[in-house]
Amino acid sequence: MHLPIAARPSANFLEGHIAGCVYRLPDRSIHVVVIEWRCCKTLVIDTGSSVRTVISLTQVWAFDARLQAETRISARTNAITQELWLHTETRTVGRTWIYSYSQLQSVFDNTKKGELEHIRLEPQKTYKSIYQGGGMPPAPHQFTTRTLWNGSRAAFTHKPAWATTLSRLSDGDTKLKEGNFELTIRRDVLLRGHRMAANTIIQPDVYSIGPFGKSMAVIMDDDDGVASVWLADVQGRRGEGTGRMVRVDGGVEWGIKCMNFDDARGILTIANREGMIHHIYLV
Amino acid sequence: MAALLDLSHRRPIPFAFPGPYTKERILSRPIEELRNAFIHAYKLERAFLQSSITPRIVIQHTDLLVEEVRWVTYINDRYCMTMTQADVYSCFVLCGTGHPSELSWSFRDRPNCWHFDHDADGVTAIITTNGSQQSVVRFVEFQRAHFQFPDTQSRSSEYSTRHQTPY
Repeated sequence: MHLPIAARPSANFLEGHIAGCVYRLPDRSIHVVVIEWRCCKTLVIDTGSSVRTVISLTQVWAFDARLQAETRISARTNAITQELWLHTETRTVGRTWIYSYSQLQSVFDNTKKGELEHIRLEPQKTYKSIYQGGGMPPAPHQFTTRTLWNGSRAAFTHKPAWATTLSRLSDGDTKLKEGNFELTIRRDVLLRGHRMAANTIIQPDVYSIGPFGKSMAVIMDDDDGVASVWLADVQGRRGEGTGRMVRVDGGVEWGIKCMNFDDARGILTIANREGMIHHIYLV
Repeated sequence: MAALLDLSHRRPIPFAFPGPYTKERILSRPIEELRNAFIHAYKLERAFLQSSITPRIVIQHTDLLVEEVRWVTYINDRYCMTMTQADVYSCFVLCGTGHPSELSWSFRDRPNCWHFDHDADGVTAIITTNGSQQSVVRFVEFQRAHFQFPDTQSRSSEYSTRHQTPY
């Protein structure tokens, strides 16, 4: 499936969002940027000299990975196997497309630099997975803690990179939105965390969503200096729709302005309002 | 092996290689890497089942950013990336006593989309701003920064509740 002409990226293709992937290939001259552009998902590759220079993304290649609408994209490069792994998923099916660096390099070598090209590049391997959640996975706007724990998004492990927003719903639930991913935390879950943390915080002041499909973290900061991390297991609480409130006792200080949670390594990185950075190793 | 696969269904495992974590891919890794990744993930699993976690180590950057920090992310034991806002938005690669101005760049328009990635050589950043129709990609090489940072091996030493490293 080639993208229709009208949907091809143009000089202003960056109206879209970065889909959370930017990678530098080992030859130090190629950046791979995955961008969600309008309703289509496009892999965009930028080339150019890279070290300590700003590169304008005018040299763009998009190649057809037979992506579908309603597909989410995440990608990784693997220096060991010399491959680009592109993971796409619809609401029911996930697929991993694997391209070798040599394939990508040949694309660059054979394409006139500086001009937009549209390339069909067949992956060397593909893997397909069917989500197991019992029936159709929910639409993103229907996600709740329960549906998240069902593991229906378990393959989507890369976090979109744009800012998180938080809003309170009329029924008391809290909605976290990051990119086109939305997660609703039910009021009773937050209340349960509130009791465990023994403070009066219901709405977090600072928050972040951890890696999707595995766990989620919300950090809260209140006036008495108590900060808490709200964590929940994906499949360990399957079907229960519950989450656990885990409080980080010590090390997290008053005045948190923003934070980042590395779920795999258990590291909280926090900036406070004085501009001080803390790395907090949980284990 | 079975325990590792079972754990990987619930928790992200800090492998050095990216997923998906198929049995074949996991088995192809050195046993020591698997062992360390499993131990770390298992410790986290146990910690998260408690009602509170006492941090093992807290490392504090005492270099103060004058501007308000709007966003921060952990890159590795040595580096973190921040975005600040004063009159302009600025990105910094920070570590220890590194001077942010040597590793920063600024843009006047509010960024609406950004992403960072890093490898052994440096950090790659891509940023799109509202006022511009084009994004920029920038690579910051780690070697250009002569930072000093505590030996991360100290994390495997005695269990401590708080450790502030002066710079």
